[in-house]
Amino acid sequence: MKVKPKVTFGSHRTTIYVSLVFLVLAASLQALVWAYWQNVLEPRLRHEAASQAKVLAHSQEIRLVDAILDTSPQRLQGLHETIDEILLFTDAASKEPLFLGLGLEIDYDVVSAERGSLDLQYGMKHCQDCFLSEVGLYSPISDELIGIARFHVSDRLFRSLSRDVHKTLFIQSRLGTLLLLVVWVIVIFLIRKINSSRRQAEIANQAKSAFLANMSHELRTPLNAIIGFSELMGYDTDLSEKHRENLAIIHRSGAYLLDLINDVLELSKIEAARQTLTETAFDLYEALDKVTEMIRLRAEKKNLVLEFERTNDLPRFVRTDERKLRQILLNLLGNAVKFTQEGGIALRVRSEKDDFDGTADGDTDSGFDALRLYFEVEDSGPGIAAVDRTRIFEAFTQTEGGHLKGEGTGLGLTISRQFARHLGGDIKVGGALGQGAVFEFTLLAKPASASEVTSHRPARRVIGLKPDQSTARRQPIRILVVDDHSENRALLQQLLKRVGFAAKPAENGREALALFKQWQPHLIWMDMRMPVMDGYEATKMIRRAAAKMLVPPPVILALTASAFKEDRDAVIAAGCDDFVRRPFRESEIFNKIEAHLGVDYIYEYDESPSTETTPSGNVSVDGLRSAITLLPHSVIQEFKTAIELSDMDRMAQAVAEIGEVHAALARGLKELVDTFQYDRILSYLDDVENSPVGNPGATQ
Amino acid sequence: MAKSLKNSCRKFVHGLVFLTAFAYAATPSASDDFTERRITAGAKIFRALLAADVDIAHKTDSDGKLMLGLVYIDDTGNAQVAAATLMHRDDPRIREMQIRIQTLPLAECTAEVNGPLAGVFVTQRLNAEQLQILTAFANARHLVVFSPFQGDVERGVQSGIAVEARVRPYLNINALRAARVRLKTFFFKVAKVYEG
Repeated sequence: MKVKPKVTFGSHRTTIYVSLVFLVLAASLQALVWAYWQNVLEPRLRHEAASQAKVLAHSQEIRLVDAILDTSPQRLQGLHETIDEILLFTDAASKEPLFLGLGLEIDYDVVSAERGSLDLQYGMKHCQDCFLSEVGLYSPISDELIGIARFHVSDRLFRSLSRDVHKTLFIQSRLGTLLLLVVWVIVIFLIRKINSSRRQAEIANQAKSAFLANMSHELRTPLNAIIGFSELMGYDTDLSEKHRENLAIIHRSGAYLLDLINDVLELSKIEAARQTLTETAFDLYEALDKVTEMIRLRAEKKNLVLEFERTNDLPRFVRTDERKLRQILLNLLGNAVKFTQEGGIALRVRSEKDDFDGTADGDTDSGFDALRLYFEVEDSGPGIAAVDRTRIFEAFTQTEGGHLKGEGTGLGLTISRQFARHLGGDIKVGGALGQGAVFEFTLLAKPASASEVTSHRPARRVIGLKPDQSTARRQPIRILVVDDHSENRALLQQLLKRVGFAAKPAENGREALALFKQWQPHLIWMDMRMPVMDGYEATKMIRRAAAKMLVPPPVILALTASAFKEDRDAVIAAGCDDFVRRPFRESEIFNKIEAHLGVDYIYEYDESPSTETTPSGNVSVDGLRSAITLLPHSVIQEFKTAIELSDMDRMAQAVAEIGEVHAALARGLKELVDTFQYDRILSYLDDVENSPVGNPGATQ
Repeated sequence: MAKSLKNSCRKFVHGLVFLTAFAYAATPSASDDFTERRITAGAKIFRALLAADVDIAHKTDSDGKLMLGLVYIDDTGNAQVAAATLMHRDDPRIREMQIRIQTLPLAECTAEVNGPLAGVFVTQRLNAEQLQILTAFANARHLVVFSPFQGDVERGVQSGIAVEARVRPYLNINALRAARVRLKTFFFKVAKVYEG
């Protein structure tokens, strides 16, 4: 599958935002420069120019005063000449006159002259752009004010100065804007570069996810067929012991391969931070017993002693992720068995209160109380060298012993440590080389009550539907199996038909839609990834078709090989009622059908250890009772008579006859016979005979 | 030989230290220079102001002279500078009237112990209370009061100097009205007017 990069608007948005910021900055810079010029620089320049004009004008005071106070008859002519000379002064730079106009106003109370005779006006009287400077003319002898001279000073200097400063300022501001532009280009370039790298990383991540999803699907699909068919064939009573053993090897190998795939996927989920915590309340004692029982078999094969100790105060019911705890324990104990050649293995479990609110008095009522569970797995194996103690928790890393064994992926301890940390604890390893290894791990759990613990329904084998489990018209329950893999279709069809359902196959979504319209199944097992039309599309189309046809909508159960929760969420979002992860167990299929259609099954026997087990530990009371109901009445009567007469030969004969019909039941009954539990057999047979339903097998 | 060289060096160092100390003591501070300049410039404006007083001819003493009071508080230094500026001129008369300079402490000034005053020149910065006393006296006697110190016109003194590109008279129009001092209209054209 080719991974297409997602076109995100995020990067474009960032570019636009950054560009806007720079645009605002550039506009602000221009506005600031303009405001600075208008409000600060230009007024200051004008003020400076006005001051200059005043100084210039003031410098002419003495000459004018001298001319005015001249008492000779040529005073007026002298005054004219002085003013003419003043108006001749030019600016050295611009070669333009400095003074554009000059007017005199004389105080004739002080100056002895005919009134108005000296009030002269030269040049411009009114000048819009000039600087007007009024200069008081004081007598140098008496310091009296003798008159006022009004100078119109050219603003030429101001204009040229203003133009130069304005040009400099705006060149600098343009440079600032240019610099801003350069920075903007660099920032945009960097953003694009970062976005490109991020997109590459996203593509790589998507490719990885796609690879995992593909691997998950492509590996689980054939594994489903291997495990499923080997399981199904195991029920065939005609198989020879040799074939049964071979089949068991196939089944075990498939299961082992599935474990390896699960390990790799689990690590991928950890690396992608996609692992989820599923906390449930469960019976810790029972969980520990199950684990130790599983390991005990393997230990006994190697003549190893498995010791299990738990402290008296260890709570029986706790709430944590049971699956993860079981996986850690199985991994550590499995490793211990694998590497220990003689001696034994010990599992020790204890608990302590763990007060989250940090109070030292241990008053758990005051805060959220929790338990810290301590597990210790000790073995008498070769031990782990000090240098390996950190390395063993790294992915795909094994000790020298592990390499020599050539088993495992080197992921078990990595996953176990991540799980322990995810559960609020950690794993550490102790011991010494040549003296065995000690793995200790802790995790947090909450106390639970017995009522919270949902009883684990034993995985019993369904062997048929109870009578009157058909539809109103006495038709069998119709189930459509949609899967593009023929072997998977065949497996599921066989399972369903064996029990008594009517099952039809469809190769893809389009075929399923056509069959739905024609056959209207009660339930559809829908593979989600198929060619032509996938399960998502088919589910939607079938839902639409049901509404259009005004028929009850079918229950659609998804079969998904995906290991990721998001994919399962997508399945539900597409309109499926539920899902089962592939490879599935037979019991999961039947349990889901039961949950959604409310059917009742007839079971053969329990596969899990129970409180009421036969001496061999693999047949439960319920299982035996259910299986006996299938026996013909004559067989039950014959078996009863044989037991009542304590006739061993007739009992053996009856068991052999039963074996022809139900091998597993026969094995269970034989164990009871061999251990002389006749009373128990009789009670089962009586129960079946006296039950109101009776034994349906008698009527078949 | 060495001893004489040593003595010479010692004398040179002592001389240098003495000269430095003398030069430092003899140099007036920048602040004193600034005040002196304002007083010198102010004295000329003060003369122009008195010449512009329409009623100045009625403010002479029994000898027909204009008595100008130079007021100080506790330091006569500035008063002497002002007196020198006012007196040492080719023609120290104002409107052809002879002048008499009186350097007076504030209390004596307001008591007019030496006769009626024609105008008062403040030579030392006054505090608010002293200023109030002087203003009340000037208002009662319709006298021109002049202070060369920056900010005094805004504090209520009738006149002072405005130093910008050039030195101009600075008039407090309300203070002049309060003292009922009449100045030539012409004078207002060249003066900076404070109306606060």
